[in-house]
Amino acid sequence: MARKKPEIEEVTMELTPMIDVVFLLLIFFIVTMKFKVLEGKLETELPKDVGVNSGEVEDLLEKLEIKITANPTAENGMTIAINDLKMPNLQTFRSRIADFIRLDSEQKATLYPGPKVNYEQVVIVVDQCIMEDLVDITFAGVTWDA
Amino acid sequence: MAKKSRQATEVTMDMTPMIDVVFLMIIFFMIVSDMTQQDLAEIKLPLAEQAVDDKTEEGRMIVNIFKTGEIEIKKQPYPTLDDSQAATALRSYLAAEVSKGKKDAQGLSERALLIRADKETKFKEVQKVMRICGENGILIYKVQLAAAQNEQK
Repeated sequence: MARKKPEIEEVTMELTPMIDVVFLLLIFFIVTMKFKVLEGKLETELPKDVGVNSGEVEDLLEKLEIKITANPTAENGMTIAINDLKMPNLQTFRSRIADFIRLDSEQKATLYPGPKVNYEQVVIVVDQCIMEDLVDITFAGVTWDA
Repeated sequence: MAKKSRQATEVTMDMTPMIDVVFLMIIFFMIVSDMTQQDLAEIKLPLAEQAVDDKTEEGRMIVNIFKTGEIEIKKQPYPTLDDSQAATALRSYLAAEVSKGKKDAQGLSERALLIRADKETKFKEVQKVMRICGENGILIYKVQLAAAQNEQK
C-alpha cells in the first residue's frame, strides 16, 4: 500500500488586526497633534518683602519707578512715566532707561501698571527695559490707580 | 480546435509598503507631538523681542490666564480670582506645590512661576496671582512672563 504524502500547510499571518490598530494609532496622533509654538519668557521678580508694601518712597533719585497708564490715543495704547515724568514715546523711554543704566549698571526698576493696562502693554515695557540692559525689574504689590 | 480554459489568477495586494509608510507616519507624529505642552493652554501671547528660549524647568509652576480673567492650571479651570473659592483653591495649590520644593534662607521659594496670560488680559488679573504669590506660606518671587518670540530672530 502506498503511503499518503503529508500535505504542507501554508502558514500566513493575519495582518488585518495589526493594520486596524496601527491606523487607530495614526488617527490618534493626527488628532492630538499640536505644533510646538515658539515661546519665550521674560524673567522678573516680585518684591521679596512679605505682603503689600505701602511704604513711602524715600529717595526717588536712586529708585526708578515706571508707571504705565492706559491711554487709547497714545502709542501702543498706553502712557509711560519714569519717576512721574511722562515719556512722549517708546524711543524716549528707552533713551531715558539707557541714561539710568549708564549711571548705574545694576539699576533696579519697579513697575506700576495701572488698572486698565493689559498684559501685552506690560510685556512691551519689560521688553524695552531688557533691551537697554535693565534686567532687575520688580512689580509693585498694589495696583496703582491712575 | 479546442479552446484553452482560462486560468483563474488570485489577485493579492502587497501590504508591506503601506505598512512601512503608516509606521513612518506614526513615528513622525510621536516625535512632533510634544506631551510636555499639556500644561500650556491655547492663549495668544504678546510678542517680545527679548524673550529668551523657554526651557522646561523642573518644578516650575505654570498659570494660564485667559482674557476673561479665568485661570487654568494643568487643565484644571479656576474661575476669576474675584471668586473667593477660586482664590482659596489657587492658594492651596500654590502652597502645596511650594512645600514640595526648596526654600532659601529668607524662606522664599526657589521654584519659579510662569505666568501665561492672553495679550488682552487686564494686568490686574495677573497682579491678583502675583499678590497670592507674595502671601505667607507661598512666597514665590521668581516670576516669568510668557511671550511669543519673534520668528525672524
